[in-house]
Amino acid sequence: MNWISELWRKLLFLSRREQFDAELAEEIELHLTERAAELQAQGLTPREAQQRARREFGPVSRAQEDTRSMWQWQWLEDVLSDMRYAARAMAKNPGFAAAGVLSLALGTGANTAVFSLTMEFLFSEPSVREPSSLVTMRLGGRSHAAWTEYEFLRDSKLFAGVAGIREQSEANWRNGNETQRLFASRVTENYFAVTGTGVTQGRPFGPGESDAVLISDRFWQSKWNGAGDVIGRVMVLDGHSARYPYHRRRRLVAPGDLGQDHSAAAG
Amino acid sequence: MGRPEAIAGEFLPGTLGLLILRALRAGSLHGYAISKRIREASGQALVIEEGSLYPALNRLLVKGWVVAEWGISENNRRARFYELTTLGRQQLERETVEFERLVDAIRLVMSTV
Repeated sequence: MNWISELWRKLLFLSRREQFDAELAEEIELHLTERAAELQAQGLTPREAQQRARREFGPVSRAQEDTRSMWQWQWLEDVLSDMRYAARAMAKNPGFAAAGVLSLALGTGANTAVFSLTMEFLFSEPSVREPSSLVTMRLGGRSHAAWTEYEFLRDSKLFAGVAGIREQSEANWRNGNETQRLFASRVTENYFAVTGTGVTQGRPFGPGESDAVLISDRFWQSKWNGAGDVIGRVMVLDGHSARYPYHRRRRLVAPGDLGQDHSAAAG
Repeated sequence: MGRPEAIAGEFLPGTLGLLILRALRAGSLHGYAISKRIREASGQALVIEEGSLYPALNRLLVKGWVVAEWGISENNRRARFYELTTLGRQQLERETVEFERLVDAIRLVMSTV
């Protein structure tokens, strides 16, 4: 394996650099002396001979540099010397260095944030089946509508489907001996049928399943450690048990009584 | 200047190494003696630029084709002597064959085209 022994010789060189430089200088000195002696034998004065020997040899420092470079990994040396230089410069002027580091950090952070938002808003797939045919309705400009109004709209058959959602409501979740407050949205049973919102596990709940719950991915990961058997577990919410925990990415939906006020989504 | 008949240091690429290996074939020599041997053997036509002799020698050291050892020169001075290794002899044979093929080919082109 020639390259291994070559590598080994190059590594050995690193440990005897100073010796190498001294030896090379001695070698070149001898070279010049011998050449001058030869020229002198041809009839030149000692001074002339020496000058000519030096002239013939060319710049000594360049010859030394070229010779040394045979043993080195030039790019590695360059990188190391650049890094040493940078470290020295930064140590000399810590304020400038801090400003540089900070602006790079902020720049990178801002870039990442903008990129994430752009991906989310411009390039991510909508989580509903047909976004162009979906509208949000505010009856009479109010953010909430009475249940009777919802029923009236639903039964009027003006739309292919009308679903209701009550956002930002809360539910008390009895988890063993503890009770935790969860932020939940309540939706009508036909919510998934109307919007076409998908779930990543299990299935969306439909008509007649008033005791079903859909949990978010974050809830699944943080409360249940991403357990594989969550589908079919029973959650006790506000004292009622809800079966079929389904789970999808962002929203937590716990159906139950929609109560008197709700806003309506129609499609 | 002074040596108008010399072919100034620009040989075919790679031939300097070959010439050095060849110069060392008969026995170990120090740097200056190598360049002198090549100069004299070529009838003063090949003058190695000293600036390129030592890089070339060190390339051969890295490759493991020659080894260097300090000794005493004929003028009683401490000098670094270079010697061919077994690998170096093999390399010399290989390069000699290749060089002859190259020269033959060039000669063929020059005489026919």
